[in-house]
Amino acid sequence: MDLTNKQIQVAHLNGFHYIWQLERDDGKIVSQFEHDGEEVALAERFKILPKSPLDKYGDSIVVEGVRRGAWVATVEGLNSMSVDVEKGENLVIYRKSYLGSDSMKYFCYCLGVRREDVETDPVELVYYLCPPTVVLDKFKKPREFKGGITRSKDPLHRNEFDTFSSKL
Amino acid sequence: MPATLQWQQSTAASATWSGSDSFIRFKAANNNTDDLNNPLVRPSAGTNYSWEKALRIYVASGTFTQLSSLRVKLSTADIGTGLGGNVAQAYDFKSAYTQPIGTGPMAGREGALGTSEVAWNNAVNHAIGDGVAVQWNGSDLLYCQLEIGTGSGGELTSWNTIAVYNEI
Repeated sequence: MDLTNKQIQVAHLNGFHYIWQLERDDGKIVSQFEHDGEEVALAERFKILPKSPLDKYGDSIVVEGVRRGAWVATVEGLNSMSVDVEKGENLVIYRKSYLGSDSMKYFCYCLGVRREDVETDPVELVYYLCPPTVVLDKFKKPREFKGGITRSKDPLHRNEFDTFSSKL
Repeated sequence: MPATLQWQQSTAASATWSGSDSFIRFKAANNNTDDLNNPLVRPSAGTNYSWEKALRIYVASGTFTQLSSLRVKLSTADIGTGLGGNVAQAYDFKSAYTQPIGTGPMAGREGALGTSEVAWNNAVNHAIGDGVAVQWNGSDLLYCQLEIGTGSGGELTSWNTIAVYNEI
């Protein structure tokens, strides 16, 4: 699931660390950017799983009809990550975005699978990819976040950046 | 490109929103200027309140499929040092715009001061500092207010009100 130089270039220009790339059940691979650099709206190519308002994983975005999903790094030094989606599972993929009142911006990338073996008790196993960054603390001093990856099935799980930013 | 979201404030009788690219300063005046005028002072008795801040999240631009699960949190549970729990940021959600007020607490939303280092509370004294976010219906407006109680000493530091949302 390689990317073209053109796709990577456009992703860089748009400020992405990672871009999504999904392999449909029929084997066709769809990337966030076309070869000419035009961006693809995921919901126009895939069906987003509707959820009950009472779903304990109500915050996540789940995509149907995918057998493999990936966040592909567009920055040298960052690792790409993919998951295989087994029968009876759907792909969980979204960016968790942070916008501070001081204009701080940060993206964490979520990737995993959702199982509904028991319809009323779904389980989502999700990785949180948190790229490194530098943000200002409450004394307006720059603080380095080294990044990290965690895995959880707890819908209220706090990722590495949540933990870091709560101590600023 | 990712959705470009922006914090916006309004102080007018009829909603007139403007972007906030710098710090939001609670003060004893109804304006969005980040300056040192109209400071809040500790009362000799009772509680002093800042003018409310009427805030919203505005989607300025971007190509995106779906934004969901808007939440809001503070970057810290401790917005100062040595304050004895006598300073808090209260919040409320309103479905329709009303001009910010500058006298007394937001109706029915006064948080309890002096019980702990509560940085973020509402009528039920629901502390959500330390990185824990609350759900925010995106069509609602967020109203915030600083409450300051009696006492002396201590230092109020800068902190971040952070909007968190999922995007794909």
